[in-house]
Amino acid sequence: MDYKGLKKLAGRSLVVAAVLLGASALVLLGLTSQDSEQFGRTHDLLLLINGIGAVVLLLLISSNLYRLVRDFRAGKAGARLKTRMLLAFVTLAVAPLVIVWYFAVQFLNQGIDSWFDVRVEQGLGDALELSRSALDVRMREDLEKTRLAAVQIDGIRPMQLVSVLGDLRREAGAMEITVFGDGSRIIATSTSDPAALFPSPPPDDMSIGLRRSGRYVSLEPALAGRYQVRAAVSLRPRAPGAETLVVQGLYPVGGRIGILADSVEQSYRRYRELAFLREPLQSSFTITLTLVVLCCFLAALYGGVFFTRRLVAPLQSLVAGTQAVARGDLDTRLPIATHDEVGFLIDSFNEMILRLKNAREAARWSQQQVEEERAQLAAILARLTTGVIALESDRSIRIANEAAGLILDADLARSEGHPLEELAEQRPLVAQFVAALRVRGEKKGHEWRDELELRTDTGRRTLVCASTALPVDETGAAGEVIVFDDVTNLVRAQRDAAWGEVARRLAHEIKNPLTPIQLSAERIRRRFLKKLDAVDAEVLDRATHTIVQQVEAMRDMVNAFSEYARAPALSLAVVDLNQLVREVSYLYPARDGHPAIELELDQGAGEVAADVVRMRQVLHNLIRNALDALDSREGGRVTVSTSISAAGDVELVVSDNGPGLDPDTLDKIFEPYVTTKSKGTGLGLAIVKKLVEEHRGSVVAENTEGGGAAVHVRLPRHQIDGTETDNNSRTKDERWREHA
Amino acid sequence: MHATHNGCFHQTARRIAPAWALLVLLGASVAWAADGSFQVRSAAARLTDNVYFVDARIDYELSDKALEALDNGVVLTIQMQIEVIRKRAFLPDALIAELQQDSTLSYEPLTQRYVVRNINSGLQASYATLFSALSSLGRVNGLPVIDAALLDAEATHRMRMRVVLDQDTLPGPLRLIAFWSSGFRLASDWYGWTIRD
Repeated sequence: MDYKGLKKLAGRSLVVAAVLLGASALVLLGLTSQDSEQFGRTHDLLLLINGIGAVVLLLLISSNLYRLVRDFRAGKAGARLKTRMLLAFVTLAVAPLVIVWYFAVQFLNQGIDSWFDVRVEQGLGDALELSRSALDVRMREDLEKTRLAAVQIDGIRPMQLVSVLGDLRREAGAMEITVFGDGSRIIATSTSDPAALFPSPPPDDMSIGLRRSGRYVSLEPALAGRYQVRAAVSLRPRAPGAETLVVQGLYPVGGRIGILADSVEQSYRRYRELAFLREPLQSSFTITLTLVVLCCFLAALYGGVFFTRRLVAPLQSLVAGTQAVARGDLDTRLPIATHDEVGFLIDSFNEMILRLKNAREAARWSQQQVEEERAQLAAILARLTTGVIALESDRSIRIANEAAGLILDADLARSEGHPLEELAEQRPLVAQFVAALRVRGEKKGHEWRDELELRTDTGRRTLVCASTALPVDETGAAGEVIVFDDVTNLVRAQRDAAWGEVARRLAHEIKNPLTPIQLSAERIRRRFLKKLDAVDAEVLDRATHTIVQQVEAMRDMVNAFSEYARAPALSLAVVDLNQLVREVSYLYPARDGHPAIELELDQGAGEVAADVVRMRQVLHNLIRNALDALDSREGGRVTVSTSISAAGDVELVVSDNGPGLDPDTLDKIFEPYVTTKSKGTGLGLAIVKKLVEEHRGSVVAENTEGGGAAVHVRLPRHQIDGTETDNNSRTKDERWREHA
Repeated sequence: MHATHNGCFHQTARRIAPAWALLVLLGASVAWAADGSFQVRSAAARLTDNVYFVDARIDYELSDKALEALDNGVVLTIQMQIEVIRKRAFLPDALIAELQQDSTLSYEPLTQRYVVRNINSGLQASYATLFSALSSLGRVNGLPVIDAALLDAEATHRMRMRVVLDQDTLPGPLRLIAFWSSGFRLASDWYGWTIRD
């Protein structure tokens, strides 16, 4: 058995012992209440028993009350309920106990009072007086006997007294006759007790009586409940100055009168003692009863504490369990101590917790499934090249994948929960996207599909966009999912493919007839020029010359187309771009009104992996285009510069201070046959763009602030280890382009 | 002798009140004004035939409560306690011998006399007045205490005596009252003296 068990057993044993003690005290009290002597003997035991019981119970109750007060102050669960129940117990226990105590005290006092009766007391007093009267007669007789003995003694010599006294004693029936001289000096004595060495000395008050009347008689108690009469007579001195003799006789009060007198005396005395002890007896009874009732009250109080504790303990356990569950601890299991309704409640609580736990596990599992599916969806969305944005009904971003951010050049993942319009204030592409969405939303609602055009630094970006409504939420509003794809490259590729097809067809359909046309024109000229007169000859000459010239022009145009359409494999090599720029620029010296090419080369601009022939063509096209734009104007200037862009790419810029580009055609300047010049094929910049894109670069044209135009070519930088710039150092734009 | 209900209630209340008072004052020593006293006036030991005899004079004055009890038939027991102590230098004094003489004092209503009885010897004497009885009780003449041979001749010995009203022999109901009441708490101080040869 552990310490707790021992403690519990000891506590219960103490309580049982206290209750048994109290009960036994009550029984003893009941048994002894009719007998004061027995009560007197057991009184101390009763007090001791009750005192011990009261002290034990007080200790137990104090300990429990201390714990209760401590729990109450600490606001412990169940303390208030325990206090209220205890108060109810105490109230229920006090009322009957007080009533029982009051009536028990009444009963005891009346019971004790019933022992005494005025008539009995009076009777006993009368009996005592009667006894006294009867004994008075006897006393007078004994005094007379003594007087007669004294008369006979008077005049006898002391030496003869001893023999005379014996006869006189026997005659008088005395136990003892003694003759005293002055100062109670024994002169002679005679006694019936052979063991007595000395006669009974005269009492102090005898001399007073003798002096007053010469006689003394008294009734005295003797041993063994008997009485004796002491009678004395003084003899007159025979001569002046002679000694006064006193004759004392002791007479037994025997026979019936002595026994009756003793009985009366004992009864009277016993009654007086009882009457005297009545109040102390009642007080003692009251005290003992009070102690017994106090013990009962304390036992009831402890019982109240005990049962309250037992009743509240499961509730406390229940409260603690509830709090634990409120904290999220669903592993709590409450012990079922009883098999009553409270036990059923705890059992139900345990079952509820179990079900709750199972439900939570199921919910957690479901949530986990949802999370996994969400993660899978997020992974799928992340891998999608299609941008996906889910918007709540209030236009805030519920979810957006990485592709959407890349397409719109914004960190949409970080903006989840925020309105898309908020991001539009910072990101121009998003602003255009939102504006486009709003226009279509106003027109077509949530369900629509359309193509959007967004302006970027690198040109137009074409998006194919579709919107679908999400299910209606609890407020009745619906969000939407916007799926969009950047088809800029696709459109461009389709356009390039179309132009290539056109070029091939032109080369095939136009170039072939050109030679017969030219040959036919030259043949006509040779044959008929000399045969015609001067006027006709001049017309013929001019016409054939025009035909040949236009055929040549058409051939050049067809060749240019062929060149544009041709797409042989790149022969990449490490090219020093600065060196290539210098070489090409040497071919354009300052002459015929053309300015010299100004170079601003960044020595740090790295090498690029490029097809040197095509890069040379790019440079030629750009420089020639710039020179053509100047159109031999005064102060014209063409600048070729190289640098490292912020993204780490090599940037080649060919700029001029010419009239600049028409803003309306700026976006389409790299398309075939889009030109602002009066001469040229209109394919120069288209070829440049094609070649640059073949090198995984980008090209952008813009009007400079000081007037003129600038073409920016960005090429991936060739790294020392032979690789191109890694993806991390690239801009989102390039990564997206690669991605696409 | 049946009281009315109201009277009974008052009577009960009158009896309960001291009981409650006693309970409330449980454990507290209440000092009532003592109207009785026991006092050993003088005492001395004399050596006769190698036996120490004690002569003493004791004043007995009973309290009103004790007198009331005596007159109502209660027997009072008076204990006379004598101790022989050997003095020691650095140790507590040693108790060599102790003697207790019990005497009862009672009142005989039939004879209207006070009876003094020595429990030890069984001798008894009756007196017409309480004064005579107490005077007789207060005279101790030649009470043999200890043989001189039992004492260490080299050591110093002391004797001391006192008289006490024995509460244990009082009737049971009275003992509870006697426990709280100074009227029955009658005892003299110890009266001591050095034994000289």
